[in-house]
Amino acid sequence: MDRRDFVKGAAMAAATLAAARLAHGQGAPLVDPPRLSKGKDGVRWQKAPCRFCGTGCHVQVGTREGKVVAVAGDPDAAVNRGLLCVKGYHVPLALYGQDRLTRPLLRKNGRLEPISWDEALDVIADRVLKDPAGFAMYGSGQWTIPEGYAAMKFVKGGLGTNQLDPNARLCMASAVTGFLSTYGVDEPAGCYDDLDACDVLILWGNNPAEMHPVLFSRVVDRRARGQKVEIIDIGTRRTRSSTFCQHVLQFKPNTDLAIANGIAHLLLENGTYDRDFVERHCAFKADTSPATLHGRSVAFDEYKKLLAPYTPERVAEISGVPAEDLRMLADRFGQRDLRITSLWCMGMNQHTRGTAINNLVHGLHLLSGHFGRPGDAPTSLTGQPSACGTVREVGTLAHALPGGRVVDNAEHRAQMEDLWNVPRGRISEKPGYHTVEMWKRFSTPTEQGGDIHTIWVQVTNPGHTLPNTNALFTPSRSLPDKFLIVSDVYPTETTRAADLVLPSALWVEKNGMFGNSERRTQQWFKMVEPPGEARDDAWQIIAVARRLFDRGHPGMRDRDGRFLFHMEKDGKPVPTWDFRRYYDINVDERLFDEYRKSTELKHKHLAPYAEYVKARGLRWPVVEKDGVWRETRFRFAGFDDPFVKRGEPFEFYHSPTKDGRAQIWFRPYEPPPESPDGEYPFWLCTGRVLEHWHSGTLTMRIPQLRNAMPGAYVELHPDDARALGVSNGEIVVVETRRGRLEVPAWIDGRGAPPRGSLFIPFFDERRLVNQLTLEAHDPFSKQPDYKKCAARVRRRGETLEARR
Amino acid sequence: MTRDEMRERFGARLLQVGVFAVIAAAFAGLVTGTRQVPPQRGYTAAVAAPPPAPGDAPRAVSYLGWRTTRLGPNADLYEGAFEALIPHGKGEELLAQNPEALAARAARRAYEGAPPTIPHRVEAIATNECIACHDHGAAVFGKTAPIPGHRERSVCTQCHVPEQAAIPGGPPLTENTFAGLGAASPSHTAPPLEP
Repeated sequence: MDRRDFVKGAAMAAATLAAARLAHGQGAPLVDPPRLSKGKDGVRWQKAPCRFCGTGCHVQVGTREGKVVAVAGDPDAAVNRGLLCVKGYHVPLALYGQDRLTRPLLRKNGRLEPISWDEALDVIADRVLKDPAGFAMYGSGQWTIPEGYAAMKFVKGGLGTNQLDPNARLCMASAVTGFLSTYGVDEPAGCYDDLDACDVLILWGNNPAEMHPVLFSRVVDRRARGQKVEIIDIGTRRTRSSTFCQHVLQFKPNTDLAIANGIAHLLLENGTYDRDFVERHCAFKADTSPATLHGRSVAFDEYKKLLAPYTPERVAEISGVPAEDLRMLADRFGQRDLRITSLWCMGMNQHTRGTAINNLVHGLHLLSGHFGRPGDAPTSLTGQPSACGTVREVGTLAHALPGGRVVDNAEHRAQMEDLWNVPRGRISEKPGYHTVEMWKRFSTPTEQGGDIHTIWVQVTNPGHTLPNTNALFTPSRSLPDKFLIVSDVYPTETTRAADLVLPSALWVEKNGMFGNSERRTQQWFKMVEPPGEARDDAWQIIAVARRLFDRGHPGMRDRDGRFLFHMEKDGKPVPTWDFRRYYDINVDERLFDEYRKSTELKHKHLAPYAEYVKARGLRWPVVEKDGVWRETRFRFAGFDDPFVKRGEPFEFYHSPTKDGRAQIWFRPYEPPPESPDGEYPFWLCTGRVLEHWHSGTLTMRIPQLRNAMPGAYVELHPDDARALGVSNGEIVVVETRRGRLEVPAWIDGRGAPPRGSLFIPFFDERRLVNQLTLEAHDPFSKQPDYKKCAARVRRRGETLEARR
Repeated sequence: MTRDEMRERFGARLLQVGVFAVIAAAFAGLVTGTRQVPPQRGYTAAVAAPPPAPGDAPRAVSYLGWRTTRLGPNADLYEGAFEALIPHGKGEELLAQNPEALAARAARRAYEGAPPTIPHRVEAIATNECIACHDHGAAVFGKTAPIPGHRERSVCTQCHVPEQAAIPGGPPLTENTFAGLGAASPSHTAPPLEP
């Protein structure tokens, strides 16, 4: 620390003290105005993470007269160093779409009509009291950490059920099960620093040039500085990222498992695996029958034998990737002095073999010793800003509790009951329904076992993003005893179908905290007022809990008979359920400082709230030493991780086998649940584009983004288009066994699928591709496969018969 | 005349002819290449030629036709692009004081400091293809390709998106009430040749 840093730190500390006293905004520590600001324009600059993806860029937010008027990339942020992507630069416009929801709306005689918040809270309380066991909450990785924690405490510590699951189930659940079965604890060991140090970057079914642009250009920019970075694209279609890659390996959908096994086979055959690392730090696992998450331990010889069939020639036959390319990959992994980073996101996670392929890619890094040195890391990325912070760390999942705990562990339940000061037995040991199951039961009549009657959705859009919506979402809307509550900021596919709509505050209209893909916890203050009667999601939860408390629900009381969300200021309780008083204290700080006590069990230590006020995020575990809170960049590596036994180069201290070892898995290649056939001859893949984020409810209201990419399309290979007689821009009909969609064809478009393969982005609410997708899911993570199913495509107006 | 002298003279003559031919070809190319062609807009033009069958040789294109023929990345770059640019000529002075130029500049960005949108179609995504014109503010057809106001980065399309989509359509745009900082402020001085 030099003197300048010290002075800066001291100034920030003073600012933090001031900040700790306030509820929000006023007097919050300011950031240096960006270069463009003249300083005399009356603009006030504060820090916040971007609202969109899991990269977690920090933006400087400029406000004037109660409105956000500009943002700038934050040069002090380690994640993005002053740069953003086109979504980040336009994030303030997301607040100002003219059709923001500003009043609670209740469906009366088929129409959504304005009601008061007071009435709305009663409606929700009625639904809970009518059928507590059939009440579920469905959230997302866009919940802030305190919001997710409040939802967790409300459902699991208050209602005493586990009917709480997030859309992240559809997004990164397989990454979680992959980490758990490999290291015994969730989340990446490496971080974004690896991107600055790697010699080889492998993209596994990943298109970061569009989905995580700031991370991708962080790597590509190194070339402009004269550094050599080899980027290898392993995917099922050419993307923008492919343009920057030295090698583009195109495989047949689902065969990534064969490729990974093929590389492992070659490492063993050539003797180029890292014998020393493996002997000291790894163990081997293989499937049981039937397969389980933790499988069975096997000896090295058996592992080798299981891999024996995966010769380059056989893998080439299965995957379509030439044997010499497989040898090239094995060669890279076989070189000890190279630094190799793997990146992946939905391609590997939205996969019926998602856990398995996650295991295999971790396994390759472990087997070859490309682990735990800067630049050597298997790193999964997240798509939502707090998929890690809220869903994975707070644990807003049907089976989980905060800090890596699970509901079917009595000790874990007792620990949380103590932290929440609720009676023993309050937390149910029975896991709730995972996302697909929750919505299936919501869409099933009660007499046929549909025991979920009310779902309260916050910060997500399941009517748009669930797979196979015709089966999982739409039927519930014609069942009389099913009730859908949706908190959102704009009209969406889900609010339009809802029975009760609650207007929410968005991004810097409230205090918040996110946790990004590299374990970085970030904090921001409220800067502007939400429009109309829109209110914080955490307030909505606390207000409903209070209404239930007032109406005598026993679960809303702690052991001392006090309100579950009891908060005090100067010794007096603060009525946080009254929105006018909500910002009398910093509710986020109270919730977070309570939550952080639960994070030590799995060594995911978080610092006190005040530390995050000062920093542009800190990567956990954050441990105090001599009064300084130090973050951790490389977990399990002795040189950086404070929890590794002193003197050890590596220690996997949550090893599933309890011996400090990480698990190298063998998981076989298996064919996908649905493959193209005579009737449905095409592969259909879905995904995102640069301009739009998630279901487009925010980005479609930003003119610059909407104009650049106004609607969904289907990418077609030129040869397929010619065979079908389809020209560019022509509307075609895409059908699967589950639904049909009319969409314009884009030939030679942004991405280039191979022959026999289609791609449709999912952001467009008028062209809902999830009417076509498959709800088949991974057996362990319960994450559905949006990336492959069988489809057919034809010109509109022409029947299939006519074609034959 | 010795044989050597003859060879030398013949060589010089050959060189002259060669140089003349090159100059003539370049001049013809300049004339034909810079001739105004009626602007073509919209994506339909881009698919006039059906995709070649496997094994087909690519169709040869005359210099007259190359601006309107789809030849891969950036084929449509010129369609409508130059109309949207600021007239080239007086540079800094003109930009700073021309209200029209300032308004055009403001219309292209959400707020002062936002990355400007691209008034022409783009399919290329590698920086080299963009900076071919934008690096030094290439003057084309009496207009200027704007120079980036920041250091060179590797992925231009990370921040800059076209104003017009490749596949048009979509729902009517929801009105957005965002009022950006400094947009179209009359007191603002546009940095020279910034987009």
